[in-house]
Amino acid sequence: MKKYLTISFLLLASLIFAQDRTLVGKITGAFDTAGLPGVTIVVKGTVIATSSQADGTFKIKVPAGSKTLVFSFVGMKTKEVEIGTADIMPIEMEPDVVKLNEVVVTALGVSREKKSLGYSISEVNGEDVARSGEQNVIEGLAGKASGVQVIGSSGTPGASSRILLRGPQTIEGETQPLIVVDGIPINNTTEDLFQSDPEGGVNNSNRALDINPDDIESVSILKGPAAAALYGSRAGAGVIMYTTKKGKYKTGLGVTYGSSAEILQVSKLPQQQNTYAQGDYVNGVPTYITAGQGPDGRSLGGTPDSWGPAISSLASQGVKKYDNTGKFFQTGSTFTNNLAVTGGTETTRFRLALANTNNTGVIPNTSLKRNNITLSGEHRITDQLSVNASFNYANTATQLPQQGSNLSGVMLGLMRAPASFDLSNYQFSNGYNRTYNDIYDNPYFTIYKNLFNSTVNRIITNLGLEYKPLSWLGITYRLGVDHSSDYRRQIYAISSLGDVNSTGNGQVGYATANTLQVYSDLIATAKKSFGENVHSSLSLGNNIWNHSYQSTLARGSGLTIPDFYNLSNASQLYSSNREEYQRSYAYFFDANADYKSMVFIGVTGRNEWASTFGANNNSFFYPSIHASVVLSEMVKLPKWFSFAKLRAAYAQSGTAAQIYSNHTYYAQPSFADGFTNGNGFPFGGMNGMGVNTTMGNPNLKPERLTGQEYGMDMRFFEGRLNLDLTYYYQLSTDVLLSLPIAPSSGYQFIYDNAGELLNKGFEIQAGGSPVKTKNFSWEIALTWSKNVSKVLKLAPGVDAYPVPGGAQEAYAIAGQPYGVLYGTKWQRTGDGKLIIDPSTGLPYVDPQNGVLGNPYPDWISGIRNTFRYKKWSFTFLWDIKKGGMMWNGTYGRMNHIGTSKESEDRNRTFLIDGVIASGINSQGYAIPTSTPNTKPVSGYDYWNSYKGDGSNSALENSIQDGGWVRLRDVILSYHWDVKTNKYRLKYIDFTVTGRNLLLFTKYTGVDPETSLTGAGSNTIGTDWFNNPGTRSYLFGIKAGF
Amino acid sequence: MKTIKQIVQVGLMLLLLSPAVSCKKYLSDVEVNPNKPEGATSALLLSTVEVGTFDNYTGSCSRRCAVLTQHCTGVLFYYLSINNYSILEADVQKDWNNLYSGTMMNAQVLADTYGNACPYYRGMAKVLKAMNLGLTTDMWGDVPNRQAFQGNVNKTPVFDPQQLVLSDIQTMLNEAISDLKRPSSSNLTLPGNDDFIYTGQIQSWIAAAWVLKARYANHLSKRSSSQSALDAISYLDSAYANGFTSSAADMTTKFGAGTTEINQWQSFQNQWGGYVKMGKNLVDIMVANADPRLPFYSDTVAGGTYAGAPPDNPAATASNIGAYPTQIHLPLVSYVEAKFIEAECQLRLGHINEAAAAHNLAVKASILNITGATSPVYEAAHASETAGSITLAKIMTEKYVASFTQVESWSDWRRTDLPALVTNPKGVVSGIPRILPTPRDERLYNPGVHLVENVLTHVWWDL
Repeated sequence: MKKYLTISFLLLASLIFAQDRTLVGKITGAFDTAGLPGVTIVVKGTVIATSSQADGTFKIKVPAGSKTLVFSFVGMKTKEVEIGTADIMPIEMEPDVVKLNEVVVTALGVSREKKSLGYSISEVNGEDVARSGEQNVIEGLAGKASGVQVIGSSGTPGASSRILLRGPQTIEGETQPLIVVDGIPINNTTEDLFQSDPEGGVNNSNRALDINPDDIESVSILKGPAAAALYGSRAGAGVIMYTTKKGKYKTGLGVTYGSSAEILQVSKLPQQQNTYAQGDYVNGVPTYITAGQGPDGRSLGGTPDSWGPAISSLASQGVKKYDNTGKFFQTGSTFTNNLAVTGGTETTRFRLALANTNNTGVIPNTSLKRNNITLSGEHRITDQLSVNASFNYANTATQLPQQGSNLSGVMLGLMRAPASFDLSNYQFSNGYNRTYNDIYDNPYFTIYKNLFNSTVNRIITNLGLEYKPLSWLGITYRLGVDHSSDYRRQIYAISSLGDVNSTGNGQVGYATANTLQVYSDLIATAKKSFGENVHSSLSLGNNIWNHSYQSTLARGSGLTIPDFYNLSNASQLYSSNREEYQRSYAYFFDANADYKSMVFIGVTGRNEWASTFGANNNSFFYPSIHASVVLSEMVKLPKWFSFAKLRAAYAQSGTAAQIYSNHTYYAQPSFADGFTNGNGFPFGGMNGMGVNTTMGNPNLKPERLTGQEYGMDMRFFEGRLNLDLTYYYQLSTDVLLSLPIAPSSGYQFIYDNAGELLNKGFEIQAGGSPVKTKNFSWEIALTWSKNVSKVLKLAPGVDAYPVPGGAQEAYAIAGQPYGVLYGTKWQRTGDGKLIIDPSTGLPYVDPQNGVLGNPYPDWISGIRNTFRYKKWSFTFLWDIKKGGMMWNGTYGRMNHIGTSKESEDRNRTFLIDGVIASGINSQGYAIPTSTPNTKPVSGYDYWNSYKGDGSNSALENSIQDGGWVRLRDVILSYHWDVKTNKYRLKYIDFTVTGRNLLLFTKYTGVDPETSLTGAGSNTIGTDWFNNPGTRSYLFGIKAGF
Repeated sequence: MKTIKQIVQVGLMLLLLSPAVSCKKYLSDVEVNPNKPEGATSALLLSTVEVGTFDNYTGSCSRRCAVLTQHCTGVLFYYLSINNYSILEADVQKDWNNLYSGTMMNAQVLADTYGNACPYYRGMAKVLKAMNLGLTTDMWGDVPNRQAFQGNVNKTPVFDPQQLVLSDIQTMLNEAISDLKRPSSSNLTLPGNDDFIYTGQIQSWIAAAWVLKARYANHLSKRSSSQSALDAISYLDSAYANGFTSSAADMTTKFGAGTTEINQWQSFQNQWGGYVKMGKNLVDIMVANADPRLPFYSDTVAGGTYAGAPPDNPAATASNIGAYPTQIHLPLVSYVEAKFIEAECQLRLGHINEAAAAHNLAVKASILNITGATSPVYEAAHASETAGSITLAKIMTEKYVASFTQVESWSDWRRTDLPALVTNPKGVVSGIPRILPTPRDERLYNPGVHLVENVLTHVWWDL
């Protein structure tokens, strides 16, 4: 095979035509005499091409009989010029205000004219990602494109961000898009390596964190199956294509250096009361109870509650008020340095970038440190053949705080702490955790002693070959490797109760994970024109993907020597490992044709084989078809109506089954009962195995996502106003579920294709330039998206399905939107009145759980205003999320234990509005009467039970509107062209950015852009003592040489 | 030009198609799961079934029963709900899962896969399955058995009536005993250290199987007062004849210190300390009798006294659980239980001398077992019953005290109403629950379910 390839290359390379003439010229802008560099000049109908020099001049040899030269340049109207008799050609190019020739990166990294596409692709400028101040290139997309929902999980360093395109397209599988960098899919998993509770542990990073935002040139977002179908069973959730910055040909050597400093603050916290001391109602009397040091040197006694007497009444006992929360958080900082060297000759271009990021969090002793080295280059060996390669090394080190449902959780310890207890005094003299009761770790102890570190070393590299043997034929080969190793350490110091069995005896875990992805594409593209008007192209390709993963975990518990964390210090050891190997290959075609650049049609197909398909299923085919019609070229529109295009697309993509689900396996069992971790193996020095609780299924198929989309792209007044509308309807069928079955069958689950899920919605992208003069301009860009998801069916007998990998509060329920919050609610009358127990004055909890709210927003929108005045630019982005309910578990629990600000109002009775019950029927339901409740409840019962989350409370109390209006970024920048040529300095950009400066929300907890389970889980909308978000101020300077 | 085109085309085709040759292998090379095997061994399965049995008997089911029988009081959250008799279908799901798919399924697989070559393993598997099925039917009444554990073959097994389940348990134990009586030479492999309970001592298994037969025979006390007693006594005689003559023969848990082998009462105390406290009913009985076992059962409160929490005032200030429930060996089938069954059955048959003698032996064995010493004072008062003094109330009260952590206590109370328990007036139902609600996943996914929603429903043997 290699031989054939070599022969073909040799033969084809010799095919160089005789050349007759040399044309020269200078290209300028229409209103500008300065030369335009980098304009592509092609001899029409040939592969002969060149580009203009820095001063705009060009030189091109044209064969005899050539008729036309084509000049093209981004942002300019493409110009075709007849070759006359003159050898010198002055060329004027006009700005393309309507942007008809915009090019966009599509599936498999192929650049296409935007107007030829029958589906919608959102684009984000790399600069907008870099200037957002976000260190995570996923979070950096928030608010910037329609159809894109970014769900940040916390403001702590390295916290993960989840991203959804047009909503969740599957139930249990991956709902996040495939991330592709320069044509190569990369790993963006969010992994817990310590087998933590998904609601506890730390907020693990999603691995797109390893990408330096400053390296991003542009982002193309393939939202629906039509755009993404060529990625087959990995495209079900869409694809995000990042294109990195490259050097440019013929630009000489350039250097840019950028540096920024950022100050971060906690943006929002739940309010705490500071009037009442720690304690409980003992025989109805608030009694001060606190912890001391027990005989074993650890904290002993105390109570989780702050139902004690007023702190002021305890002055004689030396009890006073402490502002624990105010004292705890610090001002965080981020410093970044970016040095880039770019260069380009006639045949070679390169870019070398070095970057360093150093972020310390608002929670003390937390950090993100990242170093990136990026080298990319391309060399044109001949006019037909070029090679390109890139190498990206990232070193990402994080020190992360404990979070969530976790006895060491930072916010858990902090928000529950009574105001009468001084947290900052966090150690006893023996170094043990000093806390206000003997359950939760002191948050200071956790941040200084219970350290979690992760160090990732990662290399993403690729090699590409482009060969154009014939004017009508191009071959592209691309090979990419993404390899990362992650080394983590998790410490629970002696006396911390965060360890696996909460023994407080100290525990240290070490985990490593290696991930390797190898990806290759071979694409041959042939072009053919039929007459003057019909142009077509056909690509055939092959694609191979190989993924391997290995992780090991070693954990030692029962530590003896304090602060010594080698496993040799442990009296008990536990270890485990996991390996995954996955492969797929596919053949595909991509056929396109257009008529007079007015009507475009494209068809793609991909046939895929994968190791995860069930043994009884060999391969799957994913088709797509899309068409667009440029109306403005077909019918005469009014002059102000500059451009109109209609588009439509239909496609299928898929989501692959989980690995290793074809067979029934044996496994080491664990007999957890929902409270303890249960018993397992090793046990008594022996091993044990049992039949897995999930039955294997050889008939698995990939899930199928069938999407239709229709859209319209309109531009008015020479592009001063533009509007792009999209409607889509995406149906997921054969959705894979771990279906619960009757456990009396011997199994608890069978993994099968069963569900159906619908997502449909509208997307609007609009922009306008209300003012545009030489010195001043004002631009508005708006994105608006609404997605409605609905679980159409689950499986026979299955009406409610817990969204896996996360909080038990989120469910897929037939007939409801995906991922609704589900739990206990109050019993109500038909017209919604609470039914009250006349003996207690408290409402009854419904014995059956119910739907409490949809955590997905009604709609989301981003509105950016940009003002430019001479060299000044001022831009700000409003980010609006309408609706989206949150389970604010923090609120319920703080009410329950009496630390919430609201619960300060406790020395009176409350009357709960509702009707009283006359009794309870046999099903456990209260029988309502029409008599209004007159029985008041005490302040304690009101907050502890009714507004709290105790045993007779309903989860519905803690469901709150998580919508917001936020000023996501405000950026003021000044571009200074340095006139003097000293130090070869060309320009300096000064930038001041504010992140999240304003936040309007009804949510009473932390910043509602939060997620307990992080990007690694399909659950969103849960907050259980989540670590808070941040606002920040960033100062940047960038110099170009 | 044409030739060149053709060469390009061929080259292209080869390039595109060449991987197809090795495609199948390319994929099949990675289809084997490196993380989990597709088979196990008899030893691995036996260890699993035994550990599962430890969890089922002394884990969550044991804590729930302790709250219902007022050995303990649930003070916080979920355990406060149990204390208030609010037991929901989702709350019992994991226990059901551990019983069915975690334990009994593996016992079934062990018996079916290895039984012919290794009858001892099959016998042990059947004893363990019988005792787990017994636990299941005591808690839920009608439960699946005959059609259960068939995986894909039958995903919706019908619920067998409890009467049938109990007779199947007897049959299962008979089959187990006959397997265990085979010569060791008829076994391809023999159990050893993989048998945590008896380290492969087959005689001990036979004896324990007889006690189990007695236990489930005695459960029919309300249904057939004398026949159940006659059966139980005859089974106990076989147990004694096979060496079940002291606490040394007990079938107990074998917990350890490692994170995966920790006692579940201990584990619960570590992770959910304060959720469950000592119950007033048990503590008061023991305080009144100056019971030497009390310091082992319970911690003291400030002032060095013992304070159980009453169900209607679940105060956080009550005594915590003591050291006994958290120890390595908790009884599953015990000599103490055998003697109490004997005492109860003899009394039912009017054999009051035998009843008193068995009662006295049971109490003494319990004291010795728990405290490590005899207690002449306590034994003089409570283990010196005679034909004239013995009553069912005394037997059942002493058994109640001796059976702390044992789920059997709940059955004993339901059968005899002894000792008298006062219903928590704050309970959401008007009595102490007598059955657990059908687990949610059985209700949803098994149309053959015999649905129980009302926790005051009586199981068949309780009628």
